[in-house]
Amino acid sequence: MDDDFTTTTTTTTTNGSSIDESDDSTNVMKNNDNNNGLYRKMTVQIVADKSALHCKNGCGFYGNREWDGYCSICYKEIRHQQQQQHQQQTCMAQIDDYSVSSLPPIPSLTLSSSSSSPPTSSQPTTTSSSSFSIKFEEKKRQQSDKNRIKSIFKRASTFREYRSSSAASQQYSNKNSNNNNSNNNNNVQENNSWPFFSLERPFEEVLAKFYPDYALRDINVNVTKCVEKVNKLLNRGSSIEDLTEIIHDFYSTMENRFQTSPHYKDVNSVQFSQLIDQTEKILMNKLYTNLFARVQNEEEERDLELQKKIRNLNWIMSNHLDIEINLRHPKVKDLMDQAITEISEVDSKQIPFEKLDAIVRCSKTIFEMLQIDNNAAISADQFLPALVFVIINANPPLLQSNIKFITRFSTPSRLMTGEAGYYFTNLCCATTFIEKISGESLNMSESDFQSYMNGEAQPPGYYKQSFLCEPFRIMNSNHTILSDTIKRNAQWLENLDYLEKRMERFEQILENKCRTAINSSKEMIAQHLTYKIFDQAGDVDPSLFPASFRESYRKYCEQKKEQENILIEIETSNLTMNGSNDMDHNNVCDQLASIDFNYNNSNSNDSNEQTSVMMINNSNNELLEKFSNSSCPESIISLSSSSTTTNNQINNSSETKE
Amino acid sequence: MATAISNQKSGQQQFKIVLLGEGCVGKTSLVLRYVENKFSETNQSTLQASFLTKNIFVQNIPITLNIWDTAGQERFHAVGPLYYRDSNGALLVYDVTDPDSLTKVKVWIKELRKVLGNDVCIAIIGNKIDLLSGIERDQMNNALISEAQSYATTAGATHYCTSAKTNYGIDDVFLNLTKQMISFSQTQQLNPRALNSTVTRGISIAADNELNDPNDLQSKRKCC
Repeated sequence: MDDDFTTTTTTTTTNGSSIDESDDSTNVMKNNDNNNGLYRKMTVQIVADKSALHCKNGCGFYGNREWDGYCSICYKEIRHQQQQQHQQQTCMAQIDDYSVSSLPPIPSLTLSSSSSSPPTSSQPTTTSSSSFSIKFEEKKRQQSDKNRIKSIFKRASTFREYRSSSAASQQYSNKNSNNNNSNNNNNVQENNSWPFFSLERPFEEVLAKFYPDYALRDINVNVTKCVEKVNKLLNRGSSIEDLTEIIHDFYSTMENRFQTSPHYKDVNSVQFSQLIDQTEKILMNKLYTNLFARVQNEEEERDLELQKKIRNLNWIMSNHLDIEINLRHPKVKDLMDQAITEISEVDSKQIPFEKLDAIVRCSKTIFEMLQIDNNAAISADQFLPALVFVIINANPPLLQSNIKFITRFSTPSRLMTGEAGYYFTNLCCATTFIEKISGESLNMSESDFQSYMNGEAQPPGYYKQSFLCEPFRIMNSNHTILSDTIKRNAQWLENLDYLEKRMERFEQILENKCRTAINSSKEMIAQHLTYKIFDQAGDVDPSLFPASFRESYRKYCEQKKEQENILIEIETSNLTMNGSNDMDHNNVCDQLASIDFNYNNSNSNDSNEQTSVMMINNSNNELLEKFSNSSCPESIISLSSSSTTTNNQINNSSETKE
Repeated sequence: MATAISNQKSGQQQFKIVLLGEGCVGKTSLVLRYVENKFSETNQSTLQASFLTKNIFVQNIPITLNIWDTAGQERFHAVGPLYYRDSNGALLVYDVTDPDSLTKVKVWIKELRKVLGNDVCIAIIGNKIDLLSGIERDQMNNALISEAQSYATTAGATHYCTSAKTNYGIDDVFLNLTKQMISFSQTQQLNPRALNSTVTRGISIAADNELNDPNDLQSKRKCC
């Protein structure tokens, strides 16, 4: 530490940020953390003025420029104070922002009430004591009642502000659209106005690509009008039917507009549906919280009723619905969980078509689940019961409210046609089925059904299902993996055995072939080999020798003129069968050894010439004696040419045998 | 009420056809045979057969058929109306070897007429005629089929015999039904008011939407 104080340091500014400039707290902290690393890059400056080394606070310790000239302790304190001040300021600023921009407080309130309730009730395995849950529901309802009353009051007070702000934003966007840099201005506007605007941004960007001016302005104007109208009605407390009518009116006018208005005449069908989607998106971004709160209020009783019913139905197994869902199968279980997640996601989405998307995804997952161990196409006969089963297992939050919201406020054509419409209808069917579920619809007597519902009895085989808790499931899946591994292991071993046998057989076959080949080649060698023995130097014609030998032969002749016989090397390498087949080679060598192949390196003084004597017992016993007696083993056996031919013949014969 | 959804931008007309029939009468194989020309014995790849679309040209009009399969089990009978509301056509399938399936068809037709009135084109289909034998097979007729035919005439429906296995008569069913639906929607477009008055409101939200046209103009006037 002392070193830090005695020397004031500056960085060599390799990364462009010197410590002197680092007023930013994070920067300083970072530099502190990286002290060790930085010191390597620092140049040390000796500062003449000693007073500058001390802490600015005058505490007597040495200061450091890294800590703004304070010592470490004083710096920490000052830093802490500054941070606190900063926090307070930002808090104040936020409060100011809210009051200025007149953020309507209704949405946030109602949103919190609607979003906080689902998770507690969405537990798929809520078998807990019912008395607690009833109390909880009562409390929840009271709370939401309070909220409702509050929100009604607040709505009245804030509506004017809310309207004026939306009108202002509309004017603003009108101005913007004349501006070329509308995007930049939108940014500013979004930051200042209420947070809904940030949700529109992606669409505005998309739109700006196609229709820089008109569509953006047009949709905004129309949406704002519709929002105003709906809010007016909401304020008056009109029925959902009236609201639905207005919104459906809005959708159809917009659709007409996109189809007939000359400004949209270049729009193709893809862009057309995109425009409709995005209109719905913008509208629902602005209205979702209010509308959904209204729907939720109306449907609250039915939501709770359904939830309670589903909870009581937790004993239902797939065989009650005549479908095969083997939850012990790990893949099925995974897909089941996925479907449950997706159906529960419906509540968290805001735009009707996003909700529908979640339903479609869930349905697709269910199809995938049913497809396992089933090759035939899945029909509605299997799908609908499976969907019922998934819903009972998932107990999705606010299901009735969501269904009603989608039917009321989605673009009507979407619900009547297309995949989304179909799956949504199936969801409605499944929900209706659950609502009206009875012993008859599950093929059991009414008394049985009632006792199951009351929890007095459990259906046969239920305990099996109850084993499907998480550890058992994992054990099960591990078990399947293990058995699979064992099976594969056995297969490997089998394969190994088979291969070994094949190898053995191959070896035998090869050996047999080689033997026959060698036997036949032996005969051929005997037939083809002709030996020429050159007793006298005069018999040798040096011109027949290979060029490399001629020189050595000449020397050899000069050196040993007195010697009678000359033996010229046999190119033994020609005898090896090209090295490719060791077995062949070995066998041949064995064979050749058995006919007594002798190397005689008597001419060790001349390393160039490896002379050897080949004595073949079988064919030329006399020669052997003759050579050994003469004590001059150097006699030429010109074998090189004939040995190559035999070599080829051996190869050929082994090939034909194969 | 059951007007075809038409998208003027693409000129595409969409019809919704609902497929009704007891379990195991071959609804799924019938529609799979039509849409993908597959029979379940060879079918491996199709993930689902409950919602299928088919694009066809009839009388030079591009048509999209949305074919909705329904769960045929008795326990789901009560939710039927949810399926077939807003549908333009209905295919009621029975098994020519199973008299019970025809009685179910009769029940459905009554319900369809009750909910949708005369707005829906109904075709009754006797499936699995490949299972008939002897003279019945040669004449494509037996007691059940003739009963169905006479019932069809009284109920204002058309009757067909098909076999999903041998791909007999299936294209005709869809083609004729589509033609019926086209002519029906054309007459409906000519005098929409008259038809709307005959339809009972309230069962479906689509009814609200249908009556929106006059309100539409008013609301436009109001807001502008």
